[in-house]
Amino acid sequence: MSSEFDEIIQEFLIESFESLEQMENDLVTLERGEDSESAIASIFRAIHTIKGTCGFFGFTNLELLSQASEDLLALLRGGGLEVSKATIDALLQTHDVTRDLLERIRDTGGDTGIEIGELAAKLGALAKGEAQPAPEPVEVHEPSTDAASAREPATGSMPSKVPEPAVETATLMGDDLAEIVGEFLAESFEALDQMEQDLIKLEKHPDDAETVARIFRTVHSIKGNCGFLGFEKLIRISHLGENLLNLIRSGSATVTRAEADGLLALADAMRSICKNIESDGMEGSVETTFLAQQLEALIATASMEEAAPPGQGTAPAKPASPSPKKKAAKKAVSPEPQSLVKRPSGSETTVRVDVRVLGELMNLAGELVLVRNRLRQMALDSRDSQWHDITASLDVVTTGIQAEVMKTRLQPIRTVWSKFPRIIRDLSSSLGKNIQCVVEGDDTELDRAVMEAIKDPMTHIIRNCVDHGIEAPDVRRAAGKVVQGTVRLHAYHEAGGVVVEITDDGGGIDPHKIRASAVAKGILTKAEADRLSDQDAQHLIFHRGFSTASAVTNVSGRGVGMDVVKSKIEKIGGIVDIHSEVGVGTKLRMCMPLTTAIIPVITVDVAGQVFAIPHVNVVEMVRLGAERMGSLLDKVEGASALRLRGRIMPLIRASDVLGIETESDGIAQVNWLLVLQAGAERFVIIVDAIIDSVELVVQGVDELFADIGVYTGAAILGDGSIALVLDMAGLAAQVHLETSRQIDDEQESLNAATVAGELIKVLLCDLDATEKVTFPLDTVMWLDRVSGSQFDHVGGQTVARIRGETISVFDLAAMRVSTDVSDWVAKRPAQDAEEHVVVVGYDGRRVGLRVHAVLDTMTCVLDPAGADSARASLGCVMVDERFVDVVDIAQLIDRAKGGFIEQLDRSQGRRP
Amino acid sequence: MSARPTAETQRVHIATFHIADHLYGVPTHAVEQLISARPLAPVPLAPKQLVGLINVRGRVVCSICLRTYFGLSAEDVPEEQVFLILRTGTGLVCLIVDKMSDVVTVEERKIERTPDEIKGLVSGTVSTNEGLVLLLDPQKVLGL
Repeated sequence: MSSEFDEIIQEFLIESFESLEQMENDLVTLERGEDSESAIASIFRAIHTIKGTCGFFGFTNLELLSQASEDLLALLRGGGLEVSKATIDALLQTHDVTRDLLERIRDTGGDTGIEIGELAAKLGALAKGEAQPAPEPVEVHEPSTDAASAREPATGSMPSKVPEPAVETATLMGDDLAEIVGEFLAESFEALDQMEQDLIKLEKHPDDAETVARIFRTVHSIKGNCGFLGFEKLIRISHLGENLLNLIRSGSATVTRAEADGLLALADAMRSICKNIESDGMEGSVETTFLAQQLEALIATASMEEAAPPGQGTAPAKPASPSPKKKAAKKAVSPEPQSLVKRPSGSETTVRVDVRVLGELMNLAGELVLVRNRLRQMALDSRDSQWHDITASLDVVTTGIQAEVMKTRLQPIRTVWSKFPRIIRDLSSSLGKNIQCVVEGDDTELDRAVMEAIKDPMTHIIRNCVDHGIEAPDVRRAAGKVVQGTVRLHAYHEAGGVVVEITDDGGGIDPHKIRASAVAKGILTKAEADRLSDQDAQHLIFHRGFSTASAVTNVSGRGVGMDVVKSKIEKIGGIVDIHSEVGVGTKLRMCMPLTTAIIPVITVDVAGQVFAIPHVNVVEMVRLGAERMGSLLDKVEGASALRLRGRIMPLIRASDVLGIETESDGIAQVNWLLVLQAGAERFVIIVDAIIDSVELVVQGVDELFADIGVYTGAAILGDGSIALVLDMAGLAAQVHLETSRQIDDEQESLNAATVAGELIKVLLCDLDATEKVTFPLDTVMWLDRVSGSQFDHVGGQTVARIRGETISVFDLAAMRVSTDVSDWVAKRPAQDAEEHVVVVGYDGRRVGLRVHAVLDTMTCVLDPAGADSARASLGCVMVDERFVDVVDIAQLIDRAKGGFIEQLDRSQGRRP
Repeated sequence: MSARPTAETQRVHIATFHIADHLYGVPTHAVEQLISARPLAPVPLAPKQLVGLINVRGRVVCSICLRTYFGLSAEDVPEEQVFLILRTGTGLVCLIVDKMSDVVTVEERKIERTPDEIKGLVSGTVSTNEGLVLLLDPQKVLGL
């Protein structure tokens, strides 16, 4: 009992005040004699809604008054009465008094103390006195329109008796009617969403009077409205629903599975019909007979029970007699009418605003940001401190406006989530599972556009959780888990974005099954699958055409889905990740930006032009000197690749991807690299400079350059110039075409080695004119061309001064064939000659090895069978179909250690 | 654009301009504004007629050069071209023209509409005192 009830009343008040305002306008229209039919329709609807609701809350005066005016309006509408000055006066007076009553309810929680008798009598007299032969027999207090059934919701009268105002609908065609229907639909959809949630709640807590009340109210108001609009099927089923709810409310029926199912089916049917109406104005062919029977059966059962009344003395004699209902409702309200007093009326603190207006405001705020940016730029260039002050203030204001406007576009995630408990309930019961839904942080707000984008993906994920994630009850029991499974939805703000987590405590994703499935589907080979880590295997569910459900059910498991989920989330700049533990559960995590209109980007310079790269795609920014760059650079079958932190990634020059001609081509002195992520693809682009990190208002691109595929839009920079925003997916596709195939092969062979043999990265050199040799790349410190003048003899061995260090240089060829230490010493070359020296390191020592020429780096599978300590070989690798030794540096250095190196160390004053 | 209500005498105002050897026209109501030539931000990989982007009061607008589209020689390009900003259904587009000419008023019925089957950029023609005017459809300019 609680604030929730207050909330219902608050809502009622807000709506009622709004309808009253509309009513006033309509009355004025009516008086002018324009468009009277739709005006009457609108007034009737306003009054009817107020009546339906307040009757339920037990606001007797208000109900009485609205009943009287409704009767009058029904006559006006049916043509049984002409609109006259007197009727309009009376209706205007009704309007005023109704307002008074509402205000009183707002202030005191009740509607007593305002005299309405006279007015009601006046209305009655008008209706009676001037009643003329009408299309249907008219009785003042029993007009046999839908209003009758609304007033006496549970008389059990069969729906077929409800007369059809459909003819009227036809005469009312036009914008006004369309508007009324539109409003009706919008309200109904909203109400149905709420109803679904309430029903789920009710199933859990069957005694919750407030929830029953709210559901009743929903059904009732839909019934009332559609009755007026002539939607017959809706009337019929909502009428039955109302009857059933009434029985529940009075305590004659209890909410069991059957009732909940029936009412949920009702909500569905109502929704389908509303959707049909939305699309073509007709109710369409929604099957309601079965539903009607179902509801009737439930009502019959309940009524029978009632006939043999249970022990409670409070049980009403007749299910629908209004008085006990009112009392019951009043009881529910009375405990805290005081709390209403403190709150200002909702109608004064909220307004409805057209979404388009908000959109326009958003655009203007965006432009304001641009103007601010330009001004700031000018201020920075100016020496006048006043400029700085002004722009600083403007800055504050602009940021504020932007933030507030953004807020108007935010909606709580609840709007999307509200339907999930229902989905989970229905799915789990159809699958014979017992699953509860726990929701946390459903008031977390995010942008409408983002909301729209994640709606379907989330539904899909939830279906997956229920279908594949959570085990059948017996399985759970056998595993020693709680029989009831849990699906947890959790949303929260983090780092300027929104995180949504969907967790289930089901069986988790078994990586072995995934691997097997991937192999069976031909997505991976057996070997490829085996070398995936468990985490990577789990990520395979995002692979196109992947589904692990052992049986394809109608719920999910058609293998379309998770890849779509991923691409949809990524499209709005979000990221999806999955963590799953077998037997424990699965957590899906989505991180999304708050909004899609303003995005943080990195601006880069490519051949003098500015491009923007969204932050979310940037994994890392790297600045490399020429040498380091050279050492990390790889050529894989002609395509460039970069080794960085254990990954081989395609490397591409931004100017090449974009087809801009530039002079610079090789490795520059300083290289700016961005490691970018687009989906699963990671790649590196080289830009000429990284300029700034800014927030830009991205404008959509015209179709003309949407076709190009590498831009998501353009934005105006602080100086008024234009930056193109790069589309990572498009760019990745472009890069992929050029390089990725080889890189993939490379990475595969890299991965393959972990299974078939150790994979090794080597430096290939010519040992002499005939033999090649390789060095493990991780032992290579650097490669140098050393001119003869850098060489020297120290204590019988050759040393070279390389990069400021004195390094012993040995002749590798000699070292491998001779055991005589003195043979190893590299010949001192002629002064003007140049030698290739590979400087290797091991155990803190550096040794130079003279080779004939340095050829390439590559990744190979090491065959340890070829190991030979005499040649200081770790094994061999295949290069161009020939076996080549991999030099065992450790052994080599150890060999040299006893001899020359220590000698050298001593001569340099170093300790061994 | 219509000065008279009746169909027979309905008049259309057409802003005419020169591109290379031809006189073109667009309905005046489709003209947002004229601006003098300014530097364009190029769009790499774009179709050749999309010669760049300009900033029109905070909006990014595509600039279309028909000379490039038609593959005309660049030799006789006047030094000061004019940027004609047109309204399309979805936004703005900038047409680069050699020189603006007069606004002419013609009767609707005098316009020879291009048959629908071959309707493209040029929606019709009309002869004026200045010569034959090729009427451009602003909607189509972007869809080239």
